[in-house]
Amino acid sequence: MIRISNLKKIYRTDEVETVAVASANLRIDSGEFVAIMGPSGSGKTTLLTILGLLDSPTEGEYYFLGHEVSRYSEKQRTVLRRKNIGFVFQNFNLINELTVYENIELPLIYMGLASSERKNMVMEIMEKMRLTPRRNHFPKQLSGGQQQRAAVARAIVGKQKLILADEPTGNLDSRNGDEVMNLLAQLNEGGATVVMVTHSTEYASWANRIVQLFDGHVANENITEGTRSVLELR
Amino acid sequence: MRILRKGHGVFWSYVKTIFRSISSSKVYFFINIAGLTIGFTVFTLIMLFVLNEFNYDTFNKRADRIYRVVEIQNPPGARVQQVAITMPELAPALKREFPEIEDAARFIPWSTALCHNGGKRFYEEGLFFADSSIFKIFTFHFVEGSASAAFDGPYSVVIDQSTARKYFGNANPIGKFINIDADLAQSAFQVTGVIQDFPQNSHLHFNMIASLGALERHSELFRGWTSNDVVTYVLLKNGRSSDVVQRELPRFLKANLPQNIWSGLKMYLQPLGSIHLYSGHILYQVNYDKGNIEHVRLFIMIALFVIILACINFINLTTARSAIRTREVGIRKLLGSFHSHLIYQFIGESILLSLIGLLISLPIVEALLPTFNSMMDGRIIVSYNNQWPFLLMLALIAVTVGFIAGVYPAFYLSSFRPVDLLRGRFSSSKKGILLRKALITLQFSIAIGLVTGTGIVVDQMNYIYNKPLGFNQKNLMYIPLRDTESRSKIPLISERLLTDPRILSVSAGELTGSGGTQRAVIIPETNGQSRLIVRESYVDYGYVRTMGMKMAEGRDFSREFPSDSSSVIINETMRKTLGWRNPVGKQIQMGNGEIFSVIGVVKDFNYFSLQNKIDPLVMWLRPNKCQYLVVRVAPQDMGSTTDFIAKTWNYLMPHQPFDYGFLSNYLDSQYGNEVKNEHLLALFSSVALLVACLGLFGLTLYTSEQRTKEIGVRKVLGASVFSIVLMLSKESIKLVMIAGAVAWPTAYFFMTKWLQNFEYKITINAWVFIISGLIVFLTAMLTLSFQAIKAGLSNPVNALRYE
Repeated sequence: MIRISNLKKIYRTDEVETVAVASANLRIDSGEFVAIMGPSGSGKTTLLTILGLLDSPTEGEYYFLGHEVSRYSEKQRTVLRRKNIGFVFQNFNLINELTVYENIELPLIYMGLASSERKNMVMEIMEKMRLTPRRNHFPKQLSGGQQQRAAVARAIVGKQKLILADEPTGNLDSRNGDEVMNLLAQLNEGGATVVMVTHSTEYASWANRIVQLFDGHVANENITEGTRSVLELR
Repeated sequence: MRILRKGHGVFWSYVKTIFRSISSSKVYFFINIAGLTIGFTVFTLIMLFVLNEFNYDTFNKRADRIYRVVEIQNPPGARVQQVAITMPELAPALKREFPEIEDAARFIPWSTALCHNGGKRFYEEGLFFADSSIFKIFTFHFVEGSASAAFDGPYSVVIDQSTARKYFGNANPIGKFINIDADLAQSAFQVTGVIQDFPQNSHLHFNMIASLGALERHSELFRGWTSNDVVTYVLLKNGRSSDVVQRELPRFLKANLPQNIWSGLKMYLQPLGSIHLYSGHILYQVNYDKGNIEHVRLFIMIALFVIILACINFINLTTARSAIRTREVGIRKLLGSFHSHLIYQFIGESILLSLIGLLISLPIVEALLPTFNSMMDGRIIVSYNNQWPFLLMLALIAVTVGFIAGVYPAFYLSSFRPVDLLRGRFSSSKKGILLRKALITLQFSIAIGLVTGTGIVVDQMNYIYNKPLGFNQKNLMYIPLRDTESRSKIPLISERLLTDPRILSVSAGELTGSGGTQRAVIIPETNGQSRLIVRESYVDYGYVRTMGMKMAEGRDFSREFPSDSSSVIINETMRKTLGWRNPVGKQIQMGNGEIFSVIGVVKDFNYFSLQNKIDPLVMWLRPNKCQYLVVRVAPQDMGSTTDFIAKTWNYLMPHQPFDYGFLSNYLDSQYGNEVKNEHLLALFSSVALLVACLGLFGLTLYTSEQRTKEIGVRKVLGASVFSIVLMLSKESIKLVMIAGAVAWPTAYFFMTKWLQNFEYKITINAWVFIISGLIVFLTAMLTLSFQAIKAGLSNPVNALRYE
């Protein structure tokens, strides 16, 4: 699904040139659950923004679903991202002015689906995520765990193939954190590819593979025991 | 279809966000809407006024073919002047000699005439004498009778519906008679037509038009090429250009005018459409509530300024608070929104706000309109039959305003990248802050400029009011003398009135402030054959004394000198023009050969408005031509003095109802327009300042919200309330000062230009700038300190607990 080679990202300001990612090589197959780890400033977030088609690399190649996308325009990236990639953030990033229902519906609107179709899809995912009773609530009226469930629902409502999660448990207590990890694992089992940035070795171990970043390089790749059984956690 | 559906969903999602973000930030919403509402209220009121000014006379179906003939008089020894009166023979001659001219009409305005039918007597102010062709040139709506048969007989009169009701109630007036006691044509006139009341937005205003033939029968004055008292209107043939006529006019004048009287005279055709607004320089015109294009421009400028100020508030508040919206922008982009969608969203949002502002302003305009209209002399006519084009225009303007106000914030906000969502960077950029500062400076420049301008206008007007006019307008009563009988009784009335000690002096003559003075051609003794056009004033014995004028040399007319009927008094300007050292005893000759000797020189006084210079003037002792009885009364017990004068008048003049006025009130009415404009200017400047301060208030509110934590920390560390207030206000104070530096020279430049409209003007005082700067500065400080003090007094614990 993803293949990057000799990927470089350099940020330039007037005086300083910061190398965020220096010659990274990585391959992620469909259906994998990959955790990206590394100290602060190691380039985790930069890598995630490039993988998520939010930014383009300075140098190198990036194949996404067989397309070389490193030189795509912003518009091309937007179109590709819309259909294929879902995001989950540490601070949820829901729009405060929209209800849970409307937040989840948003990507479907941008995909251009009809309202009846959207309704079915949103209701289905809300049911799955146990959010139906909260459908008319605004984000601020929800607990952190509920907000993150809504964010995950938004990330996958359009049947996105790739889920990018940036510290998805960072703002949650352990019970809610476990619940979110459980959701990601379930999605992965359902066939979605999950790439997650985390500081937590415990949650990283839920992944099939851990990619260690250091100073913008892929320092190490470990195959973990594999996704734990969902049942086991419950 | 798919795209349509998508657009639909995206649209409602945006609308929802807009309304919900409004409800979560009510104060800022209020500030934005209040600014826009005030802006549109002022704008709409001014536009109603402006459109109305431009619509004068356009109700005439042939408006684009109608012209008024204006004379440019340039006699030797006198200044050039333009007048809207012409010779009686001009209209028929123009029609005869120019194939381009379809019709021409003569029009003579009559100052007040006593009219009566049976028991009902009224003084009519709106009486005109005219040729029957007037009904073909201008558009009249006949309710009874017809345009073609209106003036079949020489003593015919056409009246408007109000006048018909006044004299005849509900009876049909056609064929009935109205007696008009107009000096030269005292006669019964038969009503041959009733017309709808003439529209308010006409430069002509009248209730009765009588056949000019009646005057021609009675007086030579209304025939030939020597007198100069009639207004001439021409109607060009369809498709003919006025240029052709203008080009041929010099030849035509040379062929027709007696050159010994009219040397140097030129004429031009003034389009009907420009009469109302562009005739300030033309004298002797029948021009009901004369407009002034300068004022119209000034008001348009103010309307635009207030709207600009409201736009700036919107831009500043939106960009300042962008951090709140950037997360939404990031998320939408992340989920697949294009940059352009977001630009549309934000522009749409600003257009929506603008339209809300307009919508709220409409009932406010409706409520304010009567007051505003009374300040404008009731000139504004809102026709509810065809208000849609106007409303559509307003809506278009609101959309434009929304677009202009929204376009920068839209590009600014939508440029935030979703990458920043992952990095948590939402601070506003340096560029945004700089722009905000520039815009605040612009706002306050406008505010200071307007306040300074207002200050100078007020100063100039005070100067004009308080400038000695050369006579004493206080406690001076005037009574119109409307016919030969009243003029012949001047000595008798004077004698009776003077028996009361409260009556200090009585005479007759002109109302000096008015434009009623006549003109005469004279040949001064020392200038040999050269002629001079002078203003002439017909007065009675003791006029100079009664009016409180001063003699520079010689004496006033007096009954003790029987020879005074062949004497004149001249003014100082005339003495200067002729270069006479010792004018008393010198002689002048009239056009007809009569010789008069000078008995005195009166100190210059202003007979027109102070916008005009004083011209040479000759006073003749002609009680039988005097227009007003002037009575100087003691300031005490005016009520009973007036009663006494009324009783005396009614006893001596039983046929003429007593009618009077005071000169000071009359002069006030002469400056009425200027006073109203001055009030409106002050009002709108305050409104502009208010809008600017609203924006400043919003920004301070935002800054102090942003700096809650900083303020908390500073207070924990021991900062005083004052130092916090200073910290929050310092920047704005600096900006207001820069604004002053920009506004003052600009205001100085434009106001110097404005002052050139006046013949007598102030020199602009530095104090105006200092005071206007202080007013704006203090208002801004008041606005700032409200929020700053609140922040300074807040408990630091609360501030820090937020974290």
